[in-house]
Amino acid sequence: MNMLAQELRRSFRSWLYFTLGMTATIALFCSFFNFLKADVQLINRILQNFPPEFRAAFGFADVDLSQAEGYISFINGYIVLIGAVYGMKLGVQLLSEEGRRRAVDFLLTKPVRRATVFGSKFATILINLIAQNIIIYLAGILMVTLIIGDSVDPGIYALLSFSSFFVQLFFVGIGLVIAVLAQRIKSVTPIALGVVFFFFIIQLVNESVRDEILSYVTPFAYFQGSDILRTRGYDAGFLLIDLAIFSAFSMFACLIYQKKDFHTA
Amino acid sequence: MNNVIQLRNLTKYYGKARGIIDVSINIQEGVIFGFIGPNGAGKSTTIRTMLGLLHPTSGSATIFGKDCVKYGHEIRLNVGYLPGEVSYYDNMKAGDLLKYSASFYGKDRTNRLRHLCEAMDLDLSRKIADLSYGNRKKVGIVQGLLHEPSLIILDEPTSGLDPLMQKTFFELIRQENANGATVLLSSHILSEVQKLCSRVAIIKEGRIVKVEDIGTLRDTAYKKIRIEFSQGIPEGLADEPGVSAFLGNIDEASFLFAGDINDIVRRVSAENLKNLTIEEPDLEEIFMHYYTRNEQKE
Repeated sequence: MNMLAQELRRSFRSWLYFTLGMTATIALFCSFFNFLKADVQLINRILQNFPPEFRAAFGFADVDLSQAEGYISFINGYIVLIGAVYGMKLGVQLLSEEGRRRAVDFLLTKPVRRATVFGSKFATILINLIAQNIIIYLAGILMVTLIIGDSVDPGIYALLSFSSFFVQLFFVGIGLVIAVLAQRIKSVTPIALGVVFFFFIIQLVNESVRDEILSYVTPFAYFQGSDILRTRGYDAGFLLIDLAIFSAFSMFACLIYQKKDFHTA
Repeated sequence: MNNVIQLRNLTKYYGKARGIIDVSINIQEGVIFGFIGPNGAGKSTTIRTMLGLLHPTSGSATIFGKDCVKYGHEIRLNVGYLPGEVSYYDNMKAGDLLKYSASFYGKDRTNRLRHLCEAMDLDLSRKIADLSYGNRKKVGIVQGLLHEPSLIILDEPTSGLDPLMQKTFFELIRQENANGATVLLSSHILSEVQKLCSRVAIIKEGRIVKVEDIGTLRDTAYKKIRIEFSQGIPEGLADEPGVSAFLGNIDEASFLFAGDINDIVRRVSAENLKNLTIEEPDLEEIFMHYYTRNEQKE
């Protein structure tokens, strides 16, 4: 418990900034909706001038921006992107913390198993993500109701909002593996941004070319807003792949962490 | 007496690079054991393998009779470790870090913490990032001793400490030893090993070359002799039996002598001397001599 408390304390500031940032982004986008609604014909005309691939890539193709649900699903795509960066950052950061701060000699010479150390960090990640997603959901639905005004089905909004959590899990898995395989990570943010944008670009390409294989490669394709609105649920296959990747990568990272050699600090 | 540490043919390779090869040492309960060798000889690799930070390629290491790989977490409950390079979570205050450290061992350590901080003159209210290297080292010392470990492992402990603090630190270690703690002190500074340890292991290029009582190492048969001659150094002196580490400079010769002291005194008594000193060599000289002799053999 002492390690868990310590990890939570240490990760709180970053959690707060990201959660506030995501909430502020929702508020900002929500405030645009009423302006947008007034000129929706004009906006739709402007969007029609873009090539269909471009519209597809940036999520304008399948949603009607004049409708609250469509608009929310569109903005949620960007919340998912920010959330993914946070998830990735968390995965890399927590497991590489001691290596980066050269504090390995402090923590791993304490009377604890490495599996326990890993477990504390893993629990910290899950607690951070669950707390963040609950807050984003509650703040989001409040703002949508207050600012947009249209009645939005809380169930559908929950599906849209919590899709961020499942995308985050995918990136946590990758982050943990990167952290455990790298001998020492100097800076976390460039890695987090690089990996997340790599998968996001794959998704942009996937949206344009509608390639089935690419849909399996990038988690951004697993929980698309337009699909959630259409089917009123998640795609069970994609959800399973997402959870399988997260579980497999986390277990792999845990095993490697226990076997890893930590050289002179 | 029981062996607190038992290393049996402990070997660690980093890929193909040598770490340590066939290191075998027994360290008995209650001793202050020195581990000496130049930088890169394998001291830290041995220690890090014992602490479970590295996994051995082959061989075994047991502490308190338990295998270091299997029961590392149980062993570490009674081990205090001070690494050569101390780094912690920079944003934490020294006091918070030490409380966090203490939380791994249960039991209230407030009084012990106060006592150690007073002894080391450590300000607990400052952030780790704002501490000088020497002060960070003090934090390391306190966190290593806070839980009253029965085995203290010190890896190059005095770097960054001023001489006064070094003295205080050695005093603390002696006290802990007097209270029953076994100490393993790794260093390339021989004088500090000489000051504290009763037994030493010498490591060179990953292999133990000698394990000996410090008294035996500084064997009385070895004498450090310096002679100033009136009319130059007599021919053949360097080749006399028992003479080694010979350094000659016109009229002055200094060397180590192993054997019956009367033989060498008789040999030089025929010469006209300006000065003659015979003293115990310090460990460093013996050590260098030992190293050179082994290299010559090879």
